[in-house]
Amino acid sequence: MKSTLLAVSVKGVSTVVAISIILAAIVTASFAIQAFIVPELERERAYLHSQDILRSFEELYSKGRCVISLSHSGVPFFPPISSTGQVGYDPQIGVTISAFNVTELKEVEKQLDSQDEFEVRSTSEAYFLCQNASDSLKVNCTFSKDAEKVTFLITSELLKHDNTTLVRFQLRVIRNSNFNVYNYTVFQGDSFSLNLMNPIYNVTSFIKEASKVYYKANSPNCFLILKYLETEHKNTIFSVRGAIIYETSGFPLSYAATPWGLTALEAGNSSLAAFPKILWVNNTLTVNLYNFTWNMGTIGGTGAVSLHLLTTSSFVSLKSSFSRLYLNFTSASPSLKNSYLQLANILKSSKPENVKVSVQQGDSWVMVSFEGKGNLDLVISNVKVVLG
Amino acid sequence: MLSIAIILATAFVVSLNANVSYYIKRKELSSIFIFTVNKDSWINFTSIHSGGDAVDIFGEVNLIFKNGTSKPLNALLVRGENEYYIHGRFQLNSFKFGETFKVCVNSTKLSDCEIHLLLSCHSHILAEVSEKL
Repeated sequence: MKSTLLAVSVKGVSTVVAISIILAAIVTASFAIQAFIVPELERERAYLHSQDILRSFEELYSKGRCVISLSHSGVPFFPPISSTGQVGYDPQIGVTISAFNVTELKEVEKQLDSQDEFEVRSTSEAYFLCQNASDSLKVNCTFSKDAEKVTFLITSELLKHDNTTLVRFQLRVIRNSNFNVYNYTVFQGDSFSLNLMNPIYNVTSFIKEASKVYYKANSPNCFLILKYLETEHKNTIFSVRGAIIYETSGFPLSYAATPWGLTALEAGNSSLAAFPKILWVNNTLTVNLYNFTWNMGTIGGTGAVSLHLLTTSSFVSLKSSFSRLYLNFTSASPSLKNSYLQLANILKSSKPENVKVSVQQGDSWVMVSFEGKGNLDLVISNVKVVLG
Repeated sequence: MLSIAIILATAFVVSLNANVSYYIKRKELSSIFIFTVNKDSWINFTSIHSGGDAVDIFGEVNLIFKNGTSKPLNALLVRGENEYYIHGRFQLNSFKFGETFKVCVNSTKLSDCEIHLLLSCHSHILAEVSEKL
């Protein structure tokens, strides 16, 4: 009887001990999962979500629209179920471009009535006009490009036909010692005009590309009318502002879509996150900037938000040479400064030989100066960010 | 019962230990992008840490020929103020967010081939880029 009781008691103890061991193993396991595995899985999901945000922002630049998922789902069965994120706007982030001695092409119309010699570019129209046709006219109109010349020599003489007095104009088109003669007859006192770019003279493309025009006429009633592009040198300033910023509660890495490209932000520091939109391509500084405007406040929470870029006004475009150019990057906080310096270093390492680059910096600004003859290809897109 | 419990618990703890140690080792979650400048017979690969953990980088810079063979290249590695000459492989410890380093290759005597730069960490490839010559 005694031995039976002892056996039951030992059996009971072993069951209790076994259950305790299994419970201890389960508690240890749950502690280890909570302490090590879940945070790591959570971190990995948050990082992958940050890479999705980066891709979405890249689409915003390339396609003009994107869907940003504000939150990422957490690890199933473990809190927090999902994170929260927010998309906002910082109007203080910007860049000012000051370019000196840029050349601007302006279409001008010039009317000449005596002797003149001047430079032209991309001539689009060339007319000879004579009011009150008369005799003894002598006109020389010469278009030149490098050593080549095309000369229009116009003379006139009176012709008597029955009782009518006519004026015969003779046009001689001379090119490389070859010439063609064209005759035109009008009534005396009538107006007479010639389109010098008429394809029958076979010099249309030469006139278009000519760099110099010489004109001399012995009559104040005759004119040469030209339409061409004139080069104007001036200093110009462009200012571009605004950045779209994504932040999340679950991960320290956030992203800013700045006017000149994507920037990553983390713990008061920053870094370029993709190829910048200011680059040297051979000898040309190629600048494709976005002037972002935003009227929506901050959008936060879970779920997704669809952003769309609306072009608000005509974009600015400039192709020109320059003698000096300053890029002045500014923001309210100093956290973006590192990304400005990274961009400055990229521009410094890829600059053409004849351009000198220097970098100046303050607490929250960096100015990159280019000194020397360079080319600028600038496009500024003025866009308003709206919900898609 | 007791012995079954001990066996089960031991198996459980061993399996858990293996998994936990894998996660404690964890993946290095870092983004790195490479900006290439080919100028004046120098090819500069500027690598920028653009987010995530500080990471130990293992780099390889090789010349790949048209027939698929490759050989390690001599290059100059510039990290901040420090410059090192490398031959094919290099290692950079604790490369942090916002930092940059440059791998510069002189391409004067190179033609009809490709320069390949591969950056990896302990667990995976971080970035790679090729420049045709």
